[in-house]
Amino acid sequence: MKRYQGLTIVTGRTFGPLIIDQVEIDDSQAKSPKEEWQKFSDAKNELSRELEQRSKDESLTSETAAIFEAHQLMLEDPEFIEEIKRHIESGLAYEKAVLQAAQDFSDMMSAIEDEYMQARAADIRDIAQQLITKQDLDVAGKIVLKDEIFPSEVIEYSKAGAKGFLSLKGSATSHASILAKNAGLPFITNLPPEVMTLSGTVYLDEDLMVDLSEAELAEFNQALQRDEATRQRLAKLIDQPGHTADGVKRQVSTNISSLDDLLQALELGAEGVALFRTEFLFMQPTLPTREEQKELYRSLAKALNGKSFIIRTMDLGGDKVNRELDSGPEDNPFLGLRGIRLSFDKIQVFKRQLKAILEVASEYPIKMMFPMVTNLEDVYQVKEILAQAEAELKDEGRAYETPMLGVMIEVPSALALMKEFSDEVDFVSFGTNDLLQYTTASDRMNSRVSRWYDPYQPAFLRLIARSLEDAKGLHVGMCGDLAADELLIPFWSAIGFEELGVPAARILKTKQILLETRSRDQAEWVDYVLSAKTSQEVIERLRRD
Amino acid sequence: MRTVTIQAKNGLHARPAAELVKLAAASEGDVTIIKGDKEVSAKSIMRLMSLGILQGDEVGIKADDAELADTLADFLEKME
Repeated sequence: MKRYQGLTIVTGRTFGPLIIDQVEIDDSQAKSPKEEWQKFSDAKNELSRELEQRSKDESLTSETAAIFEAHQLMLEDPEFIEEIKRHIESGLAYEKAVLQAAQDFSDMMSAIEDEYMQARAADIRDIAQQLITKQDLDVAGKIVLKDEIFPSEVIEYSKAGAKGFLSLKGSATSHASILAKNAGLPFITNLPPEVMTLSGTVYLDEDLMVDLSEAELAEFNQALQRDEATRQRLAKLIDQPGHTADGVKRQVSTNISSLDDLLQALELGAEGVALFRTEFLFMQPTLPTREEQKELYRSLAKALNGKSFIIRTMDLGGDKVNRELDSGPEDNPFLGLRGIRLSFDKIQVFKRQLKAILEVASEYPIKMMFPMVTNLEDVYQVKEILAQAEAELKDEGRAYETPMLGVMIEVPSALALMKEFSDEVDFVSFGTNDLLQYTTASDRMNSRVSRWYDPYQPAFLRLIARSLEDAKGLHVGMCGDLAADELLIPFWSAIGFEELGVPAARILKTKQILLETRSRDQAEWVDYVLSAKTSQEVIERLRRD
Repeated sequence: MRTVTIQAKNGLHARPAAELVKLAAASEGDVTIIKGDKEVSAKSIMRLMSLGILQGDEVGIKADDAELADTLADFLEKME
């Protein structure tokens, strides 16, 4: 067997006949500039129509659609067109004029010392290639190899049934890579040039492989079968509610910022939304009206079709600052006026959001929670504002309903208030990212203190476990990164977390891990984990080594 | 000329660049964006991106239409 290593963008085991896509340009003599210009205009109009159609394809995520919208603007770029015109007038065939102009612009982009910006040069070359060639390759069931794979090709070829992509030039931040990730198609780039001489069947895992011996082939096929069995096993979990081996219900929800996120998560078996971040609504140039908010909340609730839906009120400040809502510079924004504190300061904006949620709650089941609650006074004040919002809605003659209320546990002081919270609200949700950074006094963005930002510290786990002892009567959930931590999932379940909010891609895995663990009568194991002295010891005990 | 400092973590990447071009294209007059010694048309997405506008960069905006200059400055400051 021969192995070729590159930069693996999407790992996936697959195989198929190799098809090499080599762009061949019609290099015929240039006709008159007038005729060449006409040919260019026709090609441009046709591509423009295609791009418009492509960006309207409803199966695309908003991220993908935005890529094609940017392509459209590149195609219409007046200076790009001017440059092409100049080359045509100097006597070049339109194909060469397009390539030359694209080269000039992409060289400019490649010169920027920023990986992301460099990757955009590929988008210009993509546009140029589409302007001058028509690809009619039969890629169904095949692995496509090309000097450079362009975003438009990832879309077209995956629709046509390609099984994977290989290329010599590429980067992890290119649009082609983003699209391949979204499509879940194996993609290896930065392969050595000699792969262009390969032919026949090729095999992919982390790397590209050819010339497998019989034994290697048998091993590869076995691995494929194992993949398929795992896929089928996980797929069965899509419609299955999360629960443990001993039958304890554990809801596996997801965290979202948009309807796109939600639809994707529902397809992957989300049982609800543990966290809908609303702050992005408030970071746009103009603040959203109540009606705009209602429309969005309603669309999400409708898609959820009765599944649990937790809306978090705007959580601005810290690393998420909006100018209009900004209350001035602070020395320590993470310890400053953020979350619910900022909402108290911008009371009209906060009240408008509450009213939108209250109104939609009269149509759909909704839960509402508040970020950065530090003490009971915060809860009292929220309730006071909520009462005002209700009174005003009543005066307006609007239908409303008070949703179930919850508090986010992300400030360490809140850990000591569970009993009191249980008298005031219906649920709590642990925001582990902030809780960990505040508990360990280590900035999660600062790599120099990352060893202190350590979720396996016994102190951190003890504080959480002890707080739950006082949380009787409260529904307890988690919506931070640690909810999807494979080592910690059994522990969270054992100490009583009823709902875990995980990224869409982790839903099935989380359900699987829960199914392999027991939650009843785990007090001894929990004590054993918590009595560890160091992070390393905690990890060993979580693994049940 | 208006000047702003870019806050967005990824700088002026494809999506906001597209938004900016759309805002600029709505105007008949000249609109340019300046970074360092380079000045480019805000109506050309490729020229704009070739400036390589990154977080922390100071960027100038010139437009015949003063209101548009304000809108663009505002956009560049707030974009993510």
